[in-house]
Amino acid sequence: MDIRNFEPTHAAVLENVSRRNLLKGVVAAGGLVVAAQFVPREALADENAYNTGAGGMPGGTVYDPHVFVSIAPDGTVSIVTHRSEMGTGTRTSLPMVVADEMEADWSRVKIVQAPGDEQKYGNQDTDGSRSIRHFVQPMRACGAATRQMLEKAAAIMWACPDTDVMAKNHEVIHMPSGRKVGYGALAAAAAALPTPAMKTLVLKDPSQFRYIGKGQVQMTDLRDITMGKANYGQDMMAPGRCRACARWSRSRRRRCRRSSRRSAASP
Amino acid sequence: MQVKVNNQSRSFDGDPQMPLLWFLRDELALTGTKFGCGVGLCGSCTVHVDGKAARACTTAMSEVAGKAVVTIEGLSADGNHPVQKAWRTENVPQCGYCQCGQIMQAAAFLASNKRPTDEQIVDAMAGNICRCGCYQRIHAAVKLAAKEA
Repeated sequence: MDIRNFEPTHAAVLENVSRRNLLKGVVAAGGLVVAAQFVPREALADENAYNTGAGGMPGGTVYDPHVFVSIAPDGTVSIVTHRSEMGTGTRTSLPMVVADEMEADWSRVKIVQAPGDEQKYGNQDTDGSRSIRHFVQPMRACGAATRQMLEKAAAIMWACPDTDVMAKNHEVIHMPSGRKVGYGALAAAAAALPTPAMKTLVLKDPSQFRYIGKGQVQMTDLRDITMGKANYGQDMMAPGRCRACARWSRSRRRRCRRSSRRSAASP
Repeated sequence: MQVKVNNQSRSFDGDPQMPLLWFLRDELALTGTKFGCGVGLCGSCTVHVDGKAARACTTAMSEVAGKAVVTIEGLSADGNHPVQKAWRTENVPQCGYCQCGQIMQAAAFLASNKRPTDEQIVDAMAGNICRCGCYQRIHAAVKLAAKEA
């Protein structure tokens, strides 16, 4: 799709099959990777707590926990980050927002980088200091929806009222009895439930935040960066790829030139 | 010609004027060493040649014949060199692109000066540029690494 021809009233087109393909390599079979909900983007814009301008961007925002969150049977939560990391840490902070709202244990969260697909993920034009501004609400909504689906699944399992259960740190607790069930065990049942309408979501009170604003979560790529393992555009290898760079004047202190060699290191 | 890279012997039979940077990145796939400016002005390609910090983009292959080169990948087996640990403790990086060069510069500096003053740290790190502007944290991490090493 040509993003310049974006039609703001266009409903999100979320194709389930491709989503499965995307996540297949990340999570085992099962989990929260089933039937999509189709929410018109206009509706999402209207229901934001305040107008961020996100709805006017190509691709807008997408409210669909199935797009951004999946839970494997072992409880590993995979959260898709759809913006580019430019050094501001959004590759960490946007998934952290989802994890906080859904009461996930950050140590059991895997971050999955999305490919370019604005129909599916919403706007991906990572500039203008807009990643948090435009996406903190949609990400909170996805996290809250996931939490509520997990709670609902537990309430159905225990045949108890919804008000008797509460999600807390990767588990749902049956408050009258103190019984607990992990997110992994609930994932398949939660995934089969309808996505709650945005209006029915109950966002956390900021006093309940586990990660947001606490300054405790480190950049997810921190260790890789200090070990030379973080990959940048320049580090991408392609078979038979040739690289070129400017050859500088010979009047420089040292004469160094780049031979035209095919990359032997290409995989 | 032979050159030792991260304790492994490597042979090279190409243009002896080719910068070491491209041997590391293209031939050995050691992509932790970054191309920044190509003229030795930014420090993002800093490696160790016989223990001293060197800019790989302006170091010709002929200059490293028979020498020992260490890159960020070879600084420590497990990423726990005191400088790397200090970098994480201080949450130094933002985008991280220049940080391998920064870390290699700091490691070579601290190997020759165990108890540097603030001024010596500033001098030693002055040739490594960070577009994100992480300088205060870089300085704090060098100090911490000196203390912990």
